[in-house]
Amino acid sequence: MAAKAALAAQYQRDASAAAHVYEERPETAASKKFKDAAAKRVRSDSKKLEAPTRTDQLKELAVDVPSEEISWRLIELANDDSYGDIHPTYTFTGATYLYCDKYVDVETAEKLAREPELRAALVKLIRDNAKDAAAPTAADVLMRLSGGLEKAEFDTAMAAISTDETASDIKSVLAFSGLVYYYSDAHLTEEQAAAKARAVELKVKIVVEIRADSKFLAKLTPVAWLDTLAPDTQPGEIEALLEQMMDDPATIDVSVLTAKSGEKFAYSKAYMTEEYATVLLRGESHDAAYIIAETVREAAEVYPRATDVQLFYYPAFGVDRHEIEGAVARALELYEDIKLVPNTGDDVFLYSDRFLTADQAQTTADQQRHGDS
Amino acid sequence: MPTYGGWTGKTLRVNLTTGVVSADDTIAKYKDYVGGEGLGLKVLWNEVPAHTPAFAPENKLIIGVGPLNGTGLPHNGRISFTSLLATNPDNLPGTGHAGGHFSSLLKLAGWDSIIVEGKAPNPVWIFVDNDNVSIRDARKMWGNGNFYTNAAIMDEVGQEAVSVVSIGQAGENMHGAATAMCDRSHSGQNAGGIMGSKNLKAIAVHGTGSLKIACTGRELLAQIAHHTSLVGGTSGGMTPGKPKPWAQYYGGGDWTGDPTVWWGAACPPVNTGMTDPHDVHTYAFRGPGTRTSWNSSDRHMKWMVRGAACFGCPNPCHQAVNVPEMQTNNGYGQYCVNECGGISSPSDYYGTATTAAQIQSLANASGYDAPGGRFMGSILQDDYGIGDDYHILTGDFAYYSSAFKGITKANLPAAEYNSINWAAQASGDPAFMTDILKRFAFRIGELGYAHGLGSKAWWKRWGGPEKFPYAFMQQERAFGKAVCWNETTWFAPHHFEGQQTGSIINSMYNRDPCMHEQTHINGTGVAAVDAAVWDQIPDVYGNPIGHAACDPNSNTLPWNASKTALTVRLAAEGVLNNSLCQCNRGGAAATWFSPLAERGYLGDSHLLADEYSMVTGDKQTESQFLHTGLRIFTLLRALTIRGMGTTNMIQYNAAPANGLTFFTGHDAFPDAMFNNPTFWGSKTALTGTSQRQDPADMNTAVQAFYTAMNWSSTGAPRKQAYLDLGMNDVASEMETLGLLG
Repeated sequence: MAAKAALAAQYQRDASAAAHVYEERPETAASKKFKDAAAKRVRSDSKKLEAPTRTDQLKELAVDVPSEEISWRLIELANDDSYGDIHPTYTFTGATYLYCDKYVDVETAEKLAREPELRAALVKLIRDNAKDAAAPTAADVLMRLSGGLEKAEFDTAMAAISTDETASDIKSVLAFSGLVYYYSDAHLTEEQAAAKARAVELKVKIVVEIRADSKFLAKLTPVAWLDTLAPDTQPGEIEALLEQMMDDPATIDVSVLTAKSGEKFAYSKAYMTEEYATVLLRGESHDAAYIIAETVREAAEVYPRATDVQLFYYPAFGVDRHEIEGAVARALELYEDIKLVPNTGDDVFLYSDRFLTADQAQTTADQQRHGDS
Repeated sequence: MPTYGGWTGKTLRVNLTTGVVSADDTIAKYKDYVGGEGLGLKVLWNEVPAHTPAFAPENKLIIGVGPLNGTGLPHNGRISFTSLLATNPDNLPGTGHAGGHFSSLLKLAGWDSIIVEGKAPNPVWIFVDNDNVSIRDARKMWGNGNFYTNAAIMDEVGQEAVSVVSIGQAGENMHGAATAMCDRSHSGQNAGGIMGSKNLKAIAVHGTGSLKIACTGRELLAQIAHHTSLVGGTSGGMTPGKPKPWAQYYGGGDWTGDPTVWWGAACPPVNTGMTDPHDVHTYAFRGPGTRTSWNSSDRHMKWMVRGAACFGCPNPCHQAVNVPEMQTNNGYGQYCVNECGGISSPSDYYGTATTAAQIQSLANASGYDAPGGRFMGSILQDDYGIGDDYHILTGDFAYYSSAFKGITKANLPAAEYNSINWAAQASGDPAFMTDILKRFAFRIGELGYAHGLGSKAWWKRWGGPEKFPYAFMQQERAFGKAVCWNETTWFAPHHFEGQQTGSIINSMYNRDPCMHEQTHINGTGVAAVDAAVWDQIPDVYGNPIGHAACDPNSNTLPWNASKTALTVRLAAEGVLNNSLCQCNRGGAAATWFSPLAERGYLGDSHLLADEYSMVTGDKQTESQFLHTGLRIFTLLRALTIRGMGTTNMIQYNAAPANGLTFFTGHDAFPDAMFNNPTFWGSKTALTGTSQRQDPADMNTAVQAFYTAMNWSSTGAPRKQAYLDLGMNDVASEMETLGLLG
């Protein structure tokens, strides 16, 4: 991402620079001489190499041309009818190439201009990630360059890079998912790259799993279960990754709660409130009396109101409906603050005297019983 | 005269005595009172003399519609029925409200409201077919119910896009609480008898025109999206009923949509799902909620087909059910459409069987709670046009036919008493309901006659305080009844429980005020959130009302200045809602609360002013529009004082001899608020631990409200109060009558 942003910034700077230079200036002897020399080089390259010429390579031909004019004079050259056989082709990196149409057709020019630009961009991105983020770069990230690469083009480029001496630092590792990650061994060892690749893979799988559970199934994700997302998971590995993810802006929606049993559960705050996650978390205790007591306390403190035990028929609480009656009795026995609201007819209401008086509990129970017909 | 959007500019006037149809200039005569209830009150003020009997031809019925109806803005599918009330002991004015599609079609037909006056010599119905208004013969419909009447009208006019307001046999027989039914299942209580007294069986409207609005279509669509985003459950609850992954809080009883809830009779069955408030496609799945027992039970959801909404409503409160057993067991149709009260109230006919366990017991014994009972009762009440607002009369019957059955026996002739199949009632047999409802609708015998007088007059006729003490009569809750009343007004207890504000608003009206603003005060049901929201809502002058207006979970704390500010705003906003004809149930809460955590659950307090301004082009700030509301509210006050002929609207006795009757007069508060032993037990008032009220505190409260309104200590507006609201004509007349405060 950082490398891509840097590329975008570079395009912007190039564009600004071009705009700065691109203004009406009269032809001078020096500029005419420069354009003639550049045209000659382009024709020569096109004829001998059957390839376009990157405008950067033409700048060395400028003599007595103000430096801020050079780029503009080359653009002028590309659009000047007096050099009718010279044409420009532009690449996704912002670089401009010139070619002579007597020797190179437009499709060839575009193709041959793109190939070195693509290789350079791929290498730069891999190196930048390795240097700046100490991270390898996944193939699927690299394939997003230039608005998305076809696999064949990407494979061709990477094959060329692998035989390019100037890019001999570019290496690859295979992650457990089968995805190839690339790195620069000038900045990362193979072991480091492999470990990083595994972590990236795992984080993606973890966040996808957690978000899907929260969004589509409205359920918590047991952290222990996340171990199954990768082979040979080490103790504490997933927890450590979750800690990192909760600080990473890209996955900051991930949150972890610890149940009464000490078991940890994850959920996505983008798709589930903490309050709902807490309801589900209580259910994971599989202790109906505890679930009832905690829910009753929360209702008494937050709303505040007494709780109709019919609420626990709702599946999210995780109480078996056949257990409710017995669990209410156990809650009243086990938890001193949990009380029964009297005078509620056939309805059963509970409250916690930590947060409600008996009168308040009675009133809020009455309200719920009568409603506002 | 400037032109405005929203209004068509014409108010239809139909004189049934002369047969003359004419049009009033809406803008010139009624704009200052907005429409709906406000327009209706203005017509009564201008045209109906004090002390006119409710059923006299001189009384008028105003079917009011507001400037937002027909625009598609959320919750603007209501109509209001304003008239003198037969059930009020002084026949003071009041308004009933109903939903449906009538209001929008009336606007598209080119009319802002309808004023019905006089009395037809024979039963008639009115057909508003765009500009063509005709008075037609209704003799073939007379004697039949609402469903037949609707069908007959459809047959006659041959148009599907017709909305009908009609009455059943209860209205024809001038039952005081009879309903005018809109589109078969939306009831406007008390209007039915008025229509019956005028020999008016129905009004049908067919509108194919368009409605001009001042803003652009793009602005309107943006406002619709904004308003819709603030909408909560069908009764205004801002949290889902059960925990949801997207929700911080839960407990809103009318927001039942959930992955565990299926509409079983839909084809194919519909899973109501998560109902995330950000998902505009699932608004309708939040309900039809209603906390009534029938649909909170999984076993009943098998009958649910869909919700049924009024025009422009995103979250319908009506539920359409398909109950095949209703036909096979009882011979009635298998379909029923109604909202919570309409479906739950028939259970009262079975006496005190009001708890889930009791109902279940009856169901096990007889199949009562299977379709024979509530759905059939709902259909019959709608067809007959028998009112059941807040279980008022159904609750009365529960009382008279169970614990105090001896009163019924003592008041009915023996033959009549013995003709009632009480055994069927005891066993939960649906046949009991078919018998009893027919007696009410046709006002058969003493029972039918007394029932048609309305709750208070029925009680007085059958013995009054000598037979059963007033305090006892106010224990209705214990008998499944949701209403108490003072001298002139019905009090729905949820309007006074814990909310001094609601009690004051109630006491100002001549029936229940049909406004739920006060019940939405605790919008999210989370005390800390609710209080925080109130710090951001302005009073009528633009100053924050303050969190002290909010009692934690409705457990009453002493009166304070924030509550005064809130009550004044409530008075204004409620009547604005009912004058715009915006739904006062689910719709009213959006000005204060929303289900959106990212807004801190805050609604949009200037919603009404913004929508009124953008649609009409009559730009009003929130404060200005709230003062428009105060004008309408004050007009109701003037009408009430003029109708009673006194400025002494309340008397407070700090130490009544019998420990009861702390307040007397029009604005009196029911003693049930203070001293009902069954209801309050040993609970202490004003400690934040119960909803019990304190009489001295309520006296402080009502006096603070009077002062804020610039009314006298007896509750009569001073001349300046009228003048400040631009009511010079009212001030002048009240001065002439000697009725200024």
